[in-house]
This record gives sequence, C-alpha cells and structure tokens, in this order.
Amino acid sequence: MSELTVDGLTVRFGAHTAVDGVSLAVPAGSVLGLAGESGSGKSTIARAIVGMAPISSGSVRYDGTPLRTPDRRIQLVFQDPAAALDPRRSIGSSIAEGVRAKRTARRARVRELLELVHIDPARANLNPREFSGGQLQRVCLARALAAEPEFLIADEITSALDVSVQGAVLNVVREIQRETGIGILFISHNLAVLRYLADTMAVLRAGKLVEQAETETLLGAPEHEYTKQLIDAVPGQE
Amino acid sequence: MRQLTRPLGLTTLVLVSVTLLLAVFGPVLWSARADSIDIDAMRQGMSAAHPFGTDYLGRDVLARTLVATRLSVLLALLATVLGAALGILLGTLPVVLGRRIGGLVVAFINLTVAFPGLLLAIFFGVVFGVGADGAVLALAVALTPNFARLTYTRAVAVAEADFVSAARLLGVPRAVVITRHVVPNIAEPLVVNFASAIGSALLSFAALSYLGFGVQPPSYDWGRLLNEGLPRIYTDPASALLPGFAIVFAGITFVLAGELTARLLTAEPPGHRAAPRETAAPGEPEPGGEHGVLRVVNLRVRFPAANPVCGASFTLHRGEILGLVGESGSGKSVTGAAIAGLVPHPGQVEAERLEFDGEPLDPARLGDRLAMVFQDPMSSLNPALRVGRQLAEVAEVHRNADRRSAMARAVDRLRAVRIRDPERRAAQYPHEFSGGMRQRAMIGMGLMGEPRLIIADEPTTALDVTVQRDILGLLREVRDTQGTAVLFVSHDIAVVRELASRVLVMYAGRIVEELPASALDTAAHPYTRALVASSPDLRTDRSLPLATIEGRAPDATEELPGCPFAPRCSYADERCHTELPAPRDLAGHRVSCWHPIGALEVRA
Amino acid sequence: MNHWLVFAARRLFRFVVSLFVLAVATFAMVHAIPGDPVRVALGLKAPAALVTAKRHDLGLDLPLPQQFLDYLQRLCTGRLGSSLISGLPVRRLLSEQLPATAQLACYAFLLAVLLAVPLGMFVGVRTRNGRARGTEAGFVTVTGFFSVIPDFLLAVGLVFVFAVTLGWFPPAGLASPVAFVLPVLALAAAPGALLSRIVRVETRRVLDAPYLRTARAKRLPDRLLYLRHALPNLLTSTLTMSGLILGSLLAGTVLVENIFAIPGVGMQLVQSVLNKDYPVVQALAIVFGGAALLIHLVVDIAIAAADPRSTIRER
Repeated sequence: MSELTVDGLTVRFGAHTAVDGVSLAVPAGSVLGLAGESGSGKSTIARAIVGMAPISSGSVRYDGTPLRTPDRRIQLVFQDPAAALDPRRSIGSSIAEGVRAKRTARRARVRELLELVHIDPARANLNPREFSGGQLQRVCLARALAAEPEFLIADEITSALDVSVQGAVLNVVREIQRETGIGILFISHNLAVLRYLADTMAVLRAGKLVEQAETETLLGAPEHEYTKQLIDAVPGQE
Repeated sequence: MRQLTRPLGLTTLVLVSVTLLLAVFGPVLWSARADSIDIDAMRQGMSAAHPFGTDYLGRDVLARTLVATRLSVLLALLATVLGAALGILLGTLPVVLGRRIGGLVVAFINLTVAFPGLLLAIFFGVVFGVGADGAVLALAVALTPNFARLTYTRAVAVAEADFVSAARLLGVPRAVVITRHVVPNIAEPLVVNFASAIGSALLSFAALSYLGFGVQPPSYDWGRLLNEGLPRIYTDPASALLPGFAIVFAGITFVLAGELTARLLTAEPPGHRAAPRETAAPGEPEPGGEHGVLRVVNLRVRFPAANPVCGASFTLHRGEILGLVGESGSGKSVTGAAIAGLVPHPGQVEAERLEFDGEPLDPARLGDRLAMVFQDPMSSLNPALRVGRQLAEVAEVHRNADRRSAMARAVDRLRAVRIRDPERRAAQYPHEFSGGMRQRAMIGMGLMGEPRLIIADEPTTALDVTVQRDILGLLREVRDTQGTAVLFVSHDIAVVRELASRVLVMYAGRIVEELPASALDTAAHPYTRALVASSPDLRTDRSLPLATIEGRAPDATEELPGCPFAPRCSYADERCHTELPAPRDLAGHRVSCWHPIGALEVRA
Repeated sequence: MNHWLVFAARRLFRFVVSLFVLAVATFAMVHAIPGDPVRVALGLKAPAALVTAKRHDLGLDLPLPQQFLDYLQRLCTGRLGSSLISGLPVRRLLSEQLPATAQLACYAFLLAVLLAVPLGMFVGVRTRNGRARGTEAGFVTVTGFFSVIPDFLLAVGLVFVFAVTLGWFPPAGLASPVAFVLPVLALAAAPGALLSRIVRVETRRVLDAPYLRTARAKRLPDRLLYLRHALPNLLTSTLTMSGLILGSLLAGTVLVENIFAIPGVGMQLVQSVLNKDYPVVQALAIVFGGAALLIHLVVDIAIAAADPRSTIRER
C-alpha cells in the first residue's frame, strides 16, 4: 500500500534549524495529526514534503520511492484561504486548473467537486471576494481534490476561521476522508481539532518530534512531559 | 466606474481630452501660423494679433505653444514606453535568472534607484548625443530603475503567494502559472505607475529641452520654447510664461490621470450603505439594582455606514470576571472600546446609562482606574520606546510621580506580573520580549494604577496554549489579589468557559444571552447552543459530525426587523423574522429569543 | 555594540563597491561615445596634431585595461584632469563651484524638512479618521499642486513675480544673502510638498496603530500621545524620504542654477555637456553620483540609529 514516509527530515534556514531529524509515517487511508506550538516547525514539514522548503538532509518517500515535486498525488491546503486563491479568477476556474479532462467533462467535475464540499455549483463563476472564509477554505479543499490526490496535507486550515464555520470545514474533511480513503496529514495547534480527526498523533516541539502514538493513547496516557503540558493547557476542561 | 463621474474623474477626463485633442489637431490647425516668419514683428509683446507676443523671428508664441503639444506629449510617451519596457525586462530578470545572478541584478536595480532620474538622463544624454533621439533614450534609461524595482518587488510577492504554490502543486506548467497568475497580478500597479510616469517624463523632457539637451531647432517642444522665451522674461514675460504654463498643465493632467487609473483599478464594488439598525426593544427592564463596577444600559455605537452595537445592557460586579463571547463582526470588541472611550471617529457612543464605579462614565476622567489589554501584544506596545518607559509614564501622568519613582513602580509592576529580572527587562524594547512576556507587560501596565476594571480584548488569541494558560492564570491572580473586575472579550468559548463566571453571548450587535459559564452546555438560545456544539473539545464524540451553523452572520450594515439569528436558526418561525425578541429572565439565563431551548421556559 | 561594527562595515563595503561601479560607469560613459571624444570635442577643423596630442595627454592611446587602471589611480589620488576647452584643472573648477551648489542644496533641504514634517504631522493629526474634511481637501490640493510643478518652472514664476514685477529679490546670482531666497524656495517647494504629504499619510498610519490605541487607553495627554508615541515611529519613513529628496535636490540645482545664473557645478555641468568637455563631465558624474551614494549611506545609518529594531534585522 502507498504510504508517505518522512525519514530524518532536517530543514535549515541559515543558522536556524526549523526541523530537526523528524521521522513520520502516514499509512494510506489514515489521518496523522501533527500538533505543536508556533515555531515548532509543523508548517515547515508540510512545505518540505511538497517541495516548498529546502530539505537539508533526510528524505521524503511515497510508495517507497523518493518524492519528486510537484507531484499531483500529494496536495497541500493552506492556512489562509483568501491568500490561497487568485483574487482575479473565479473559484470555478481555480478548481478547474487541477482537473485533467476535456472541457465539458471538466465543467462537470468542477460542479461535482463543489457539491462535495457543500458549495452551490451555481456560484462557480464568482470571484473569491464573494465568499466567506469558511466557504473559501472548502473551495480550497475542492481544488486540492481536483488533482485526485492520494494524499492531502492540511496546514492549520481552520485557524483563520470563526468557530461556527470551522465545524463545517472539519466535517467536509472527515466526509472526504471516509468516502475516498485518502491519507491526510492534518496540522494544527488545536488538540481538540486533532483529536476529532486524527487516527494517530505526533507532537512537535522546537523542530523535534516529542511523541507519536494512537490518538486515544497519546491524549489519554501521554508519556512525554511536554505532551502532558500541552493537554493540561487546553482550555475549557473542568 | 463611479470614479469617472466624481469631480476628480470629470476634471481628469476633461484635461486629458483637451491635451489629446491639442496633440492630434494642434499641428494641423496652427502649423502655418506657428511657422510664418514676420521680420516686422520680431520679439513683440502682447497684442491683438499675437496674444502672447512673438519670438525672435516674429512667429506667434501662442500658435507655437499649441503646435508643440504633439511633440512634447509624443516624446514623453515614447520615453515612458521604452523605459517601462526596459524596466519590466530588467525587473523580471532576477526572477528568471536564479538566486546568485538575480541577486546581483537586484543590487544593481537598488543602486540605480538611488540616483535622481534627471541626472541619469543628462549623463546618458552625453552618450546618446544631444538631441531629441538621445534625450528619449536617456530619459527611458532614467525611468528604467523605477519600473524595474516595481516589477521585481511585485513579482517576488506574487510568486511567493499561496495561490501560485497551489497551482504548481496541481501540476500546472510553469509558463502557464506565470501568464495566468503572476502577470495579471503584477500588471495593475505597473499600469498605475505608467500613467503617472508619463507626467514626470513630460516634465523631465521639458527640463532637458530647456537646458538645450533635448529637441533642437528648428523643431520645438515646450521646453525649447521656454528656453527661447526665458531670456526675455523682463521685457515680454508672456512669451516665457505660456510654454511654462503648458508644461505644468500637461504635467498635472498626466499625474491626475495616474491617480484616476489607480482609483479605477483599486475601486471596491460599491458598498451598500446602511440603514440604521433598530435600537433595543423598548421597555427593557434594568438589570439588577445592585451597585456594580460597571453598569451599561442600552449601549449603542453608530458609524455612518454601520451600527456595530445596537443595544447592549449588562452589569459587572466588583472582582467578577465576565466573559463576552461572539464571532468576528458581532460587536464584542467595539463594546469594549466604547466603554473605554476608544471608539474611533466618526463613531458615536450612546447609552441610557453608562456608569463606572457608581458615577456616570466619563472617559476623560477615567485616569488609571480602567486598564485595557489588547489582542496582539507585539503591535500594542510602542516599538520605539523602552518597556519600562511605557509603564512608567502612566504613573507620571496620572499620579504626578517623578521619573525615578515612576520607574521604580514600573519595575515593581513587571515583577508583579512575574517577569524575571525586571530591572533589566524594563530597559529593553518590546521586540526583545517574547509574546507571552509582552502580554504580561501589557497587564503590568494596566496595574500601574489600582484599576477597578480591566477590559481584556482577545488577550490570548495570538498566543500559544501553554502561554495562554499563564496569562489566564495571571488575570485570575490579579482579580483575587486586587479585587479587579475583568471584562474578558473572546471568540473562544472554551477559554471563556474556563476563566469567566458569567458569560454574555453577542450576535450581530446584540447580547442574545447572558448565562453562568457553568450552564453553557444547557444554553437557552439556539445560537449559544450551536456555538458550543460546533467547537470540538477533548470530550467531543468523534463518531458524529460537528454541529454547524448554516449561512453567515449579518454584517453591521444590514437591517433585520426580527431576531438577527432567525435566518440561520432551525427553530425560527414567522414571528422570529418580523419581531425583535426582548430579553427575558429564565432560570438564571437572560435570553432574547422567542423559542428558547429546553424546559427552562416551563420552569420559569 | 558588536553588531553595530558589523553593520557599519557591511554598509561601508557596499558604499565602496557602489563607488567602484560608479567609476566603471563614468569610464564607460566616455568610451561609449560614438567616434573619438577628442575629435568630437575639438571639432572637425582642429588640426590632427592637436587631436593626437590631446589623445596622448588623456591617455586615450593606451590599451583599455591600462586606461582604466590609470583612471582608477587618478581618481584615488584626486587628480581629475583638466578641461578640454579652457584647460583649467577640474579640481579648481570644482573648488570654486561646489560650495554654491552645496549651500543651495542644504538650505533647500533644511527648509523642506523643517516645514514639511511639522506641517504633515499637524495635518495628519487634524484629519485623523476622516476629521476636518475641509482641511484635508485644501492640504491635498495645495501640496499636490506644488509637488507637480517642476522646480525650474516654479523658479521662472518666482522670478517673474518677485524679481521682475515686485523687484523684492535679485533675479540672478548669489551675491547677497537675500539672493538665496528665490532659488531655495524654488528648489524646496516640490520636495517639501511631497514630504509633507508622506508625513501626513504616515502620521495617520501611526495614529491607527495598535500601540497608539494602547497609549490612548492609558489616557495620556495629547502632547505625549503625538510627540512621544507617534513621532519616533515616523522617523524611518521620513528619513528614507529625506534621502530621496536630497538626491532629487542635486538634480534640481542643475536647472535652478541655470535659471538664476548661479555659477555652481550644475551650471558647469550643462555647459560642459553642451561643449562636449568630457573630462569635466566625467568628474561631475563622479561628484553627483558620489554625493547620491553618500546620502544613501548616511540615511541608512541614520535609520539604523533611530530604529531600535534595526540591529535585529542586520543579524
């Protein structure tokens, strides 16, 4: 089965080591939640996997072979949906960019993708500014799915959203995952969000991997002191 | 397009049309008159036959000035087109050439931008030779660095944009990415720059011709005419002033054209102008007669185009932490700002009652009894002043403390908010602090006096969870040790639940529910319920989809006759859409809803 | 203070490299002239022997690399050659003419900055958040007008009104202190207007900044709000702008000196270019270019000194 493996990944920017020897494995069809605070290197890992950050050492493999980017089988969804869509193009045409099909088939596929993320396909011709943040994030998900990827990286995709629309985005991610069996690397600083989606979880601190386990295990019986601190700090626990 | 009918747009259109018409038809109409030599009328002043006099060969100055329009505009245009083309080429080089050689090109661009354009043009004129052709080339070269820099900075910004990365990941070919995403997003500022560059090229060209480097006789542009007329400014000022006026006129025309292009391209779609929202339902009972730290009855904040707060009432007791929850645009932050007297102009704050410490609230007399903590601790501290100074000035202003004792107090307060080594820290600038420390310093700043109330507006939103926990602990500690009341404004219901004893839920400028923090799970208002259910916590059932709220919140410009939540509410009926529900007390909840959830109503 | 040294060394290095580029450019300038510069300068009728002699004097008969090395060496030792036309040493020309130009530029710069910064700040404070629309419209119109009018045309207008019509000021020369008034006004008007517009926009930006909201929340008096909290944050952009203004004043002097018949390097530049007096043009290119680079360097250092965060950026 196809599996995304990150082995001893190190990313340096000048003298600063953003990611320090991180190894992860995400089996096909499973969701790995990557937790960490700001500056822990979680976004850099995402960018390194898709070739947007320079890999100093270590490797990223997919299906056992080294990944050559860009690879349509792996798609990234960004934190700020407004910045991730070309402001001058309709959302439909942004999605269509990823579809490899003839014109009529492409249009049908765009409709299908919009329906999948619960956006009215009739609005495909509108520009991004006509949509709310939560809707735009779902459009971004649809665009990523247009490439029919086997693997999705979601980098803090709900952090810029209001709570009432965050739920809708998370639900869509879950539906997609269940229906298509796609593998997901879900990155967030919010443990509750990760707990809701992830099968396994990894905790990152200052570029290093601290702990990795099944979600229930990691949250229920954390081994590392830092993981315990993070869990304790989650607000709203009586 | 509305810009075109505004005064600026109309003026610009008229000026541009006049200039272009003159450029096209001027030579056709007046060439003969401009070139006819009249030896009897050499160097004449103003007369009926020659309104602006004649030149050294008796030619009519007015006709010559009008005819010169074409050449002056044409040369400026030519130089600008050439300069823009060269600049765009040079500006894209670093993007294409890769890091090392590209870096050299960038350094070169930055170096040349430092040189004044006119000087560059003069020196390049030396190489290209004196004359119109040489001057066009020289001016083009002089305009190049600006276009190059603009192209380069925009190209880099766009090339790093997420939407470009997304297209690459989808396997869109590089060339397509550039033509489809990068170029259109760079074009706009270039077009704007082009329009105003014509204006400055026109002025520079006139200067070159005036100095004798540009157009050579027998051809003439405005600069040349000025050159010929200026020596006679004592005897016949008109013949020198007219070409000068023409240059200024055309210069202003093109600068305005640039301004108009900028406004046309960046114009937002016309925003709907707001009808004012209904104010709170009349006859609302005043909440509790008890004497609190803060008492707010029917607070409204109006702006010309929006009403972000339309009728908020609540009381804050001594030593109480009151949570104010809502999503973006709900009016929660404006409510906090209104109490602190920080609503920006032209916002109007009105309230039936607004009492602080038992007296009518007067922001000017609040002094240091009310403190505020803001969301982004980096930008909320002045980057140019030392942290200690920023704290100390509170004591200097409000307690008439001298510099030394004020600084001692500042150090003491930094220690009180558990900043280590406060003496050293007080002498540092905010950028030397970590995010959490900055927020501590902000709270310490609020504690310079003996505040009765702290308004904390999303104070932990920009912080990591572990730091957030510290800050929440600090706020609690301040409340416990000093009896300070806290109005805690946040979008995060989990944080509010943890910190506050009572919670106000705000939606579309109104407080829709007031309830004990412990009762959030059994909230009566459908919106509060949905808000709680849609944010997952560590106990959420993973097998079920999360609750969602369909649609979007009305923005502050919209007017709804009924309950503002009705369009998104599954319980809404006819009445909800037409009639605004008044707040009612229901078993410890105070809720504005026609159909509160649960058996609460029955019990009440 | 260690990073200050690193910073200064780096900037100085950049300055030296830029000077070198400038030397190359001025060298290339003369060699890029189509044909033989000496022949062009002396005219077609000049005897061949004279041309050859001049060529030899200027070292133009040597191989290019040798010429360039000689040129660099002469620059470093300050030997700038002599005029093709008058035969006077360029150094003497400069020592006579530079002071007038430098004085003009400095007075104009001081006038522009001293007027523009307080005015821009005052109007910025008055018109914050859309207050005082009338003041705003008036300010924008007047400064817009003055920033568009080129200095040489304003000079013409000033001469016409104050020298010709009213006779208050002399129309030419720099013989008396009064004679400075018109040229300095002409030079300072456009950059001053532009600077005051930028200071106003920056003032409004700073007044909207969260840290000013904090200062207001502390209920500081207006004096502290604007002078202590806003002003230091305006410095960076004002300094950057000031550098550009000083640079543009260099170009302005060329024109204004010609209109007021002031014997400065600007006047000399125009004469030399028209007379194809290349050694002088070359020397003046070095002077003007070097001045622009020096301004750049000083502004960079001033910005670094004014902004407490700049040391971080340099790391």
